[in-house]
Amino acid sequence: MKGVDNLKKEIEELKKEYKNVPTPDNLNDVVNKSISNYRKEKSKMKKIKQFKSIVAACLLIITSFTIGVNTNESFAITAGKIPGVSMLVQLVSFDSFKIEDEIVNANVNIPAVKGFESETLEQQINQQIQERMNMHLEKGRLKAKEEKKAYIETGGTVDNYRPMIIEIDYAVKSYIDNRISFAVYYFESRASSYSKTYYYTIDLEENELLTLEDLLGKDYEEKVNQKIYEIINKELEVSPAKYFDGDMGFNGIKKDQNFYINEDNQIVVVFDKYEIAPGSSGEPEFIIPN
Amino acid sequence: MEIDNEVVIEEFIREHQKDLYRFAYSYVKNPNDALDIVQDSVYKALKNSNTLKEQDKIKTWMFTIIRNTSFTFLKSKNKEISLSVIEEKSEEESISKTEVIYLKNLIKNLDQESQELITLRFYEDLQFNEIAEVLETNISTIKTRFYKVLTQIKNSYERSG
Repeated sequence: MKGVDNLKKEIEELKKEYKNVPTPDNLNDVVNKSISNYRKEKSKMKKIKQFKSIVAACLLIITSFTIGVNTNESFAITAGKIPGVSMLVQLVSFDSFKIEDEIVNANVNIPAVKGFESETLEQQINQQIQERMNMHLEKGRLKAKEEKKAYIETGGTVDNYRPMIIEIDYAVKSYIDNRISFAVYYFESRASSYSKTYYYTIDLEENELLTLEDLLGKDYEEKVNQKIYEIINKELEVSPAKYFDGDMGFNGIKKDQNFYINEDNQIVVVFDKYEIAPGSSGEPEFIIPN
Repeated sequence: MEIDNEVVIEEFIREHQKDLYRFAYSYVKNPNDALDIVQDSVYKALKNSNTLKEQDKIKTWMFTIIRNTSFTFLKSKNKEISLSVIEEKSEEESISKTEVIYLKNLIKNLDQESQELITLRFYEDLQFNEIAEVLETNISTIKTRFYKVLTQIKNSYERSG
């Protein structure tokens, strides 16, 4: 009987053989050639695109609402599921469809809120979501159309053209006591990318937009900035490239700083991708203690 | 200002070109074909740089591209996909110790998915979550499959002695 120790040794031996597979001398040349081919192709496309003033982009728009409602979480969610029981606030799929044509591949799932005490606010929010998403969808299609035209004009073939990918969807961030917080995403993907985020916080009782000041008091700016500086400095000690520094980095929050409420009922301050940190850090989020 | 995906990808490719080649070789088992795979994959990776959602997942993302390109290539060549790392020819050249040959053949006769698991786990030292990313499936499936294969190998191996 051969033992497990032997097996391990032999696997190590096979690993060595795997790692020792000789690499051809021209590997580096092949890699370089492939990279420069790509660059050439890209600069050709870029010139045409600049001329046509087409910005190929990846656009991510998140619209988040935080709504105060007169109910508690468990009851509201349960009530929403039982037919015949009067519904409290709910987030439902309002408009769901797919577009698959020669320029766009879109997966659309637009939500709507239901069961608000104030029907005016409910309509207002739903209308805003609808309008925003339709506007982006329309813009996206137009952009895709122009891109395809440019692609064909620069010698691309119809068969090789890949349609633009668009996704609209939503996610509930939290549903705690008298507040529901959710995000609506618009995502559009093309050759290069940038992203943008909009957040809204709305109080149903007051019928108005909630701000960080409403949630944290008059000295909210100081509170938030202090906390964010504290977190950034701590994290930079561990991974120095996580945030930009100087003018590019974090220099205090904006008047209309994005935020939402998370499942632990905490305020989460959010920054756009690239706003204060490299793309690898995504959309930085900071939890601010109440 | 921003670290663009393309920059990150290009850097990774230059630094790890040998790893990419070896991984391609584990599928196509031929130096020229492996070079073609690397060339295609590099271009594809840069062209689709927007699909790299998290930059620290570049390794598994790049491996997935190599894997898919290899499969497409093998399909078009109508070759049977066999994942034995060391092909017959290199077996003669390589310094395989006699006792390793039994295990090597054992692995070679496994189905291709099992061989991929062995390659990624033992030779490439990937974690289960990383393997799941490369093979585009979930981590629990990978774990179950991996331990099944391992038991299979252990049993045959011990019986052989």
